[in-house]
Amino acid sequence: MHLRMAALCLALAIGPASVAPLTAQDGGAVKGMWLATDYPALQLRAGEDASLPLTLYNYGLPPQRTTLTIADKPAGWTAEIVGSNKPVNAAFVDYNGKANLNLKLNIPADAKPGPYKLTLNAVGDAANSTLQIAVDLAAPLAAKLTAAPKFPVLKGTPKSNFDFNVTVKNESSSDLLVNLATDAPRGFQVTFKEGYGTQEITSLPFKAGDSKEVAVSIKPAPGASAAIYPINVTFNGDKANASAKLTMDVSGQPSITLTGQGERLSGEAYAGEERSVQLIVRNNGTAPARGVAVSSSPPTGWKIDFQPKEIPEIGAGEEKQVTALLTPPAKAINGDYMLTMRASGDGISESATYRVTVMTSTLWGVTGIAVIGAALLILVGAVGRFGRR
Amino acid sequence: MRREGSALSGAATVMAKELADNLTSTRMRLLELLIFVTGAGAVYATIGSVKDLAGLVGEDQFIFLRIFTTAKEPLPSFVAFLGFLIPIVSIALGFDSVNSEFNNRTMSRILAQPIYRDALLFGKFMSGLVTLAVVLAALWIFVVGLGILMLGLPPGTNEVVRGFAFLIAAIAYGAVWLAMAMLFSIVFRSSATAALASLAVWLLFAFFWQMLVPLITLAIAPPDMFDPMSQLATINVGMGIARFSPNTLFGEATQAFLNPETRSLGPVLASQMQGADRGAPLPFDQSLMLVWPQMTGMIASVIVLFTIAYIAFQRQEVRA
Repeated sequence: MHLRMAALCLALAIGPASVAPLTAQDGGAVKGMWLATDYPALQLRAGEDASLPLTLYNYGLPPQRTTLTIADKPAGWTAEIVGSNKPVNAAFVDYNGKANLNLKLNIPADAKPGPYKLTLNAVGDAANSTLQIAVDLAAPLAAKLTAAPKFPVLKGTPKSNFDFNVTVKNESSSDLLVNLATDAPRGFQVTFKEGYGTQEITSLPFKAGDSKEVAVSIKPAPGASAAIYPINVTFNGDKANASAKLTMDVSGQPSITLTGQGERLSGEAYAGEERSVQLIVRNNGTAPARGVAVSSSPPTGWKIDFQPKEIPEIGAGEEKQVTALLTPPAKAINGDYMLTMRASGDGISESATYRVTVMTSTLWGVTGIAVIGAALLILVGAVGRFGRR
Repeated sequence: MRREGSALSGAATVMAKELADNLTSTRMRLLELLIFVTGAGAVYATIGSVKDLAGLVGEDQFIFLRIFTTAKEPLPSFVAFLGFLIPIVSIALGFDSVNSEFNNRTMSRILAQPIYRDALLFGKFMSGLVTLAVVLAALWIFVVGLGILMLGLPPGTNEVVRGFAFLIAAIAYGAVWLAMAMLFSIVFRSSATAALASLAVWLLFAFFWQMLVPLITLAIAPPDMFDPMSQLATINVGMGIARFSPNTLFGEATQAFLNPETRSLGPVLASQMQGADRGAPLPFDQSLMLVWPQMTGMIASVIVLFTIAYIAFQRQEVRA
C-alpha cells in the first residue's frame, strides 16, 4: 500500500509540479503541516474574479492525504480550490513536500464594500492547518474603454486605402459590446475588421480587461479633392465610450483619359494619304498631370505622328487637344484597322483603341469608267465606220 | 451605201419584237423550268443550313447574304449554280439569233423594212439582255422571297444593296456570254456550229481554264524557291491569267459583294494584315471599289465582243 502511494507520488512529481520534495528544509527543526497563501490580507473589487495562490507544506511528517475545505466564506461569494486547473477536495503531500493550489474567488458585482473573511481548513492524518484570509472589498471600477490608434495620420492618394490600426481596451470589470462608427465624409467607404481578420464587422464584444486590434480601412471618394480629412472613429459600448481621432492626408492624383472628338474613336483614311484626327486628353484627377506624352506603336508600314508629342501640363479637370496624323501604307488593304494610342505621364498611363477604315481612292474607279468609255468609243467608231443600209 | 440618220432608229421595234419572240418561245419555257428547278434546288440546299443560320439571327448582320453563298452537300451554293447556269441561258438565247434569220430566209425581208442593220443587231442584243435580266431578276426575287419566308425577317438596307449589286454582276456576266454567242451566230451560218463553238468556249473557261492557268503561269513566271517575292509575283501572274475567264471575274465579284468580310481578292502579306480588324465587314462602296476592275472588265468585254460582232455583221453580204 505504501509502496503504491510512493509510486503515485513519484508520478505526480514527474507531472506538473504540484508536489515537490523540499531538500533544503531537510533535518530542520520545523515540523508540521501548513496551508499558506502569499498575501493573506488583500484588497479586491466587487464584480472581479480573483485567484489566490495556496501552498500546502509538509515539514517532517510522513506523506499523507490532506482534506481541503472552505470552512467559511461571505454569503453570495463563490469560492473553490483548484489544483492543476481542476477543482479539488484533497491533496497528497509528500514528506518534506508541498502542494501548489489556487483559491478561485468570484465576487458578485453587487457585494457591498467592506471587510470580509474566508477560512480554509486542511485536515491530514496527523496534522491540520487553518488559513484565514482577510479581504477588504473596494467599490467596483467604473466602466472604461480606451482607443489608441497606432498611426493616427496617414497619407495617400484618392485611390489608395487608408488602413488605420486602433487598439481598443476594455479597462473595466464588466464585459462590453462595442459598436463601431465613424463620421467620415460622404462617399468615403469605411470598413472595420478585427486584427488581421477578413470579415467586416460592425460591433465587437470585449471581455473585462480585453484588448483588441481593430483595423479601420477608409477608402476616399473617387473624386476626393486633395485635403486633410479629420475622421473621428467612435467605439460605443453600453456603459462606456471611446473615440480615436484619425487624420487622412489625401494628396491629389492626376487621372487621364484619351478619347476622340465627341468621344468618337473611329475614322476613315485613304491608303497612302495622311489623315489628321483630333484626340482629347482629359485630366479627371485631382492634381495636374505633367509631361503627358502621346504615342502609338503603329502596325508595319503605318505612320502615326502626334502634334504636340508631349503636353507639359494638364490641370485638374482640364483637357488638351492632340492632333494625330495617320498615314496608312499605300498598299494597305481596305477595311478596318485597330490602332492603339497611348497617353502616359508621371505614373499615369491611358490607352485608347482607334478604329480606322482604310479606303481606296476612287481614282481607280475613274480608270475603270475610262476603260468602259474607251470600249464604247470603239463601238461608236465602228458604228460610224461600218454603218450602212 | 452610207446610212442616213441614227443607228438606233428602229432598234426599239426590233427589240420589242424579238422580246416577244424570246418570251413566248418553247426555248423560254425550257429556260423557265431550268430557272425554277435551279432556284428551288439552291434554296432547298440552303434550307437546312439556313435553319442553322437562323440561330445566328442578330449575331450575323449579313445573314441574308448567306442564303446566296451557303452550300450544302451534295448541292452547290446558289452562286455556284448561277456560275454554271448563266452561261447556258445566255448561249441558249444568243447562239442562233442572227444565223436563224439567214437559215429561215427572213433576213432580207426584215432588212427590206425601214430598219438599219445596226438597229437589227442592237435590238437583238438588247432583247437578249432584257430577257436575261428578267430571268435573273425573277430568280433573284424568288430566292430572296423564300429567304424572307424561312428566316422570318426582312433583309437590311446594306444586304439589299449588296444583293442588287450581285444581280448586276450576274447580268453583266450573262451579257458577256450573250455577246459571245451572238458573235458566233454571226460568224457561223450553221446554228449547230455556233452552239458548239459557244459551248466549247464555255467548257474551256468553266473546266479547262483552271487547269491551264498553272501551266501557263509556270511557263511565264517560274517561281524562285529562294525568293519569296518571285513566288508572290508568280501568284499575281497566275491570278492575272485566271482573270481572262469571265467565270473568275464573276466569282470574285460575287465574293466581294456577298461576303462583306472580303478585304482583298489577291494574296495578302502578313504585314498588311497587322493591326487589321479581321472579320469586320467592309462598307459597300469599298467592296464595290474592290471588284470595280472585275465589273469594269466584264462590262468592257461585253462592249468589245459586241463591237466585233457588229463589225462582222456589217461586213456580211445579205442576199434575198
